[in-house]
Parts: sequence; structure tokens; C-alpha cells
Amino acid sequence: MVRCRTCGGTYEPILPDGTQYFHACSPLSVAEIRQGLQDNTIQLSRIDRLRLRTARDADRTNPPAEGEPSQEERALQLMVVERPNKRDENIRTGLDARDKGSRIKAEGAGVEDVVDE
Amino acid sequence: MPVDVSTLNLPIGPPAHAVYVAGDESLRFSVLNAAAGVTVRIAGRFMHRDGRVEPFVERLVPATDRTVSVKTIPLAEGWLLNAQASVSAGTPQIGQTFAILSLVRGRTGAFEELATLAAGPISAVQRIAWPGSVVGSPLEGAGALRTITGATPAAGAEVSETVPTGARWQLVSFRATFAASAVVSNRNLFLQLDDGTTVLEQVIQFNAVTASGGANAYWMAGFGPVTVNFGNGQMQGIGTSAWLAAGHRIRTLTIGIDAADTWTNVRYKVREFLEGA
Repeated sequence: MVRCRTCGGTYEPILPDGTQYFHACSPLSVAEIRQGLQDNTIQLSRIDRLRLRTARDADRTNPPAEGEPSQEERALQLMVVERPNKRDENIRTGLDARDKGSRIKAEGAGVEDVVDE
Repeated sequence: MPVDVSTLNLPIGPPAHAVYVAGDESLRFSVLNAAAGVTVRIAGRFMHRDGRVEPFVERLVPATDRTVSVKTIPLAEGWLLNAQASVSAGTPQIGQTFAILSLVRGRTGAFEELATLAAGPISAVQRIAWPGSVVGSPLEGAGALRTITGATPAAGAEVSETVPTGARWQLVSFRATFAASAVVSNRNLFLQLDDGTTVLEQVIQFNAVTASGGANAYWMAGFGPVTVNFGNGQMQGIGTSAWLAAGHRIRTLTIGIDAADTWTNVRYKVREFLEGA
């Protein structure tokens, strides 16, 4: 079992049937996007920034009813924000692989062994 | 230059199907494979110019990452009588190992492919042979049924499983266990499929999970589009043709997710086909 140092996910690199498992970090969850925006550790794309500003404006002029999600919440749910320094263990092929670098698409922050607890 | 067989003084002539090779050609086996511990056995018979028939056997341990592994067997001048590929070690399912048998010009360095003799899936019981086998595609057939244990994301993160390079999947079922933190708000659980960038399909479990609650969430091909609850489980359909190419992703989307919510026990079943990498 290993832990991805980028996303904290844990997984077995070799599955019980002997096949290789190729981990790729998930995009950020809504909770992680919120935290990242608060901490200023992520940068949204131009289109996502526009969506978020429009949603916040809509919430100000037309606040959500009790128990209903805000427009901001809905906008965040629709965003696909890739994790900074994401790891992707899938192998590179074709022109992508010509530089003789790592065989995997992105090293991210690497992995560490997880000791069984 | 064409060979006049009658001038060779052969005890018997080469059979009509035999392929004459001039001495600068090779037999090439290309293997795509995703299974562990596989050895491919390559065998056949070759008739030399003097009429001598020589059997040959070679072995190839293919890579397990769906890239192409190649074995090239140089041929003397004469006739290729037959050739076949089978699995001599390992137990790949049909769909996990695919072999292509071809005739190429050249012995080292750059090869020029001249003819594809046979192509198809191989296993411990299924082989491809020339003459006899067709030139098949790795995308034909039922595919290999695989049950995959996915990564367990950190608290507050979503599940995301990526179709590996060289594979094509049809999602059969997906399950994972969700546990909500004590932070008060309802959570709704979606499964979504994307192409690496754009979300293509979203399927919701209609029943909310409350604070400190949890659910075993199932999404299954062929199941109706209505959430069914049983005990702590929620079941939902994903249609019947959830095809995913390499790089596509299977992800959860948790409406109302809190930084301490967790997804665990990620398991899914797919039909896998080899695209090759």
C-alpha cells in the first residue's frame, strides 16, 4: 500500500489479480476548492472566475431560499479544477514520450509506503 | 527472383499455402498485454530450400502495461509452413492478451511490415495460428471482466479513477462507502463520468445523507434510474453503455461535501478491452 504525497489517496500499486494500478489524483472537491480559494493556493481559470463572480452576484440579488444551495455552490459543483502538482501514473506514449524522461505522465510529489496499522 | 521449385530436387514440394521468404525477412509477433505473469509461446515450422523441415519455438514475456512487446524471428530462405502463438505461463482472461503475427522485411533496426498473417486474443486455451486464424481486432468479443479496488481518497476529497493508457472500459458497476462528518448539512452523492476534462454523464443517488450518516452507494449498468434503498445502501442505474476510453474518469461528486467527509471501499467492475499503447 502506498500513499500519494500530492492528494493523500492510498492504494495498492498491484491489484489482487496481479494487474498494475495506475493512480491519478482526483480533481479538487468543492470543499478543497473553497479551502484553496480561501488560502489563495489555487488559481481558477478565467472562465471559472467569471462563473464564480456571476454566481456570487446572483446570490446577492436573489439569495437562495432556506435549505436550497446557493448559486455559488452550484457553480463550484460544475467546475473541474485539477489538483496542483497532480500525480498521474499512466504511461506516456507517442510524441509525449520522446524526451526519455519519466515513463509516467506526471510524478507529482511522489508516493510513500504506508505501514499496515 | 521467383524460385522454380522443380529445380530444387525436393523430396516433396512445399504445400500450396506456404509462404516463400527470400532470406531477408522475419516473422514478427507483437503482443499487447495487461495481465501479470504471462509468457507467450511462439512456435511453427519452416521448410528450408533443401527440403529440410525445421520446427522453431520462442518465448516472449510481454510488458503488463498494455504497451506492445515484440519478438522477431529471422527466417532463412525457404517456406514458412505454419506459426502460432499461445500462452504457456500465466492465466490471462480472453481480452487481456492479444497477439499479432506478421511477416516483416528486415532483421534489425527498422522493419517494414509486409503481411499480417493472424491477430487475435490468446490465453492458456485460446491461441492464434497461421494458417487458420482471422485477423481480428482487440476490441472484439466480450472483453476481460475485471474487479478493481480503487484508491481511497483523503478526507474531503472525491473518488477519481482513470482508465489506464492502452485500455478501453465499459463500466458494469461501481460501489463505494460514504461517511459524512458531524457538520450539519445534507449530502447528495453523484457518480460522474468525464473524458478527462468535460463531464459527460452524472447520476445521482436521490436520497440525501445526513450529518454523521453514511451510505454504501452502488451504481449499476442496466439498473433503473430510480434510487432503491436497502439498509444503509443506495442503488442507482448508469444506463447500459458507459464506454470509457483511456484517460476518461469515473468520479464521485458529493453535494455539500465537508472537509472531514470520507469515501472508502471503492470497488468497481469493468469490461476491459485492449486499445494498445
